[in-house]
Amino acid sequence: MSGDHHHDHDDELALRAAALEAVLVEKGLLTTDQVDAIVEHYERDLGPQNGARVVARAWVDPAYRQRLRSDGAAAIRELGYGGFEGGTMVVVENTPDVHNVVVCTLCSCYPWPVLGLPPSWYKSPAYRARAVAEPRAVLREFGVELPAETEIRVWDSTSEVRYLVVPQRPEGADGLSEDELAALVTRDSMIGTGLALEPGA
Amino acid sequence: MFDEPWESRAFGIAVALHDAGVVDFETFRARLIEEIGAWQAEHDPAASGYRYYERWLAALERTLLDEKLVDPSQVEAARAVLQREWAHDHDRRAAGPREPDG
Repeated sequence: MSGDHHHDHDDELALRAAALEAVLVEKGLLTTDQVDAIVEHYERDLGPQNGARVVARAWVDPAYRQRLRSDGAAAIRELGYGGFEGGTMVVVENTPDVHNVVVCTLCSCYPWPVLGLPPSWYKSPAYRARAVAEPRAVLREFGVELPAETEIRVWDSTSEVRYLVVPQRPEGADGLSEDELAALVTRDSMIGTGLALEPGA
Repeated sequence: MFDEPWESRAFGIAVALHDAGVVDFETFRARLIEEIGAWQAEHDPAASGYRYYERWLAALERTLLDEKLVDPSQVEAARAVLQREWAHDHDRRAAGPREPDG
């Protein structure tokens, strides 16, 4: 496929999006400023740094961890994150025996308040199909090699429920501050396609 | 996050309409699931060419038409106006920069 072809197709898609926006603005159903504000909020305020703070708190505070287990959304709101697409949050914890992986097979649902918008691979038909059918092979491609006896649980998001994975706290992280711990928590580790970083790595 | 500016507009429009109470996001999501499913029914999962926000835009168009929030003729008219404006901008750019006093 040539670059020009891609460019022309994007021009066509841009025209369709702009035409819709123009009509909606003309009819007074929304303003360009409203759309700008939403795009800016999602690009600037939301992202995996939010989820990383939740995980770091769970690592250091057993009571918080318990609250996360019983009502994920409420515990996440304690740290100031919530809103659209974060209504019902189920927090699943990785252990030496169980590794959790999140997917949305139908439409790429994702916990926006804690992780921002999903990466391209999460939305791809290949990941959405294969995460369920052959999770161990998919994890290997992400560089995650699990012991054969570790059970892999795949969580398929629905319109009602979003999942957040609490990765295992790495060895050698004792004595780190909550901020330092949060820096070890990658986006992929909260989807389950990665592990938390080792301190000093 | 967004590969192209139009993707962010399509995303922002759908969320703004939900925030404003104009379109329930679940109404939109049902179309999004259908659009994604339709693409997948015709392609191998490993096929190239899948673009999530293209499905999103198609779902948004259908939602607005189905809910009678916009009229096809309005969208066509807006599109024609934009197309003329953009072609004009493109011609100007293609002509190259002008001297400040030229």
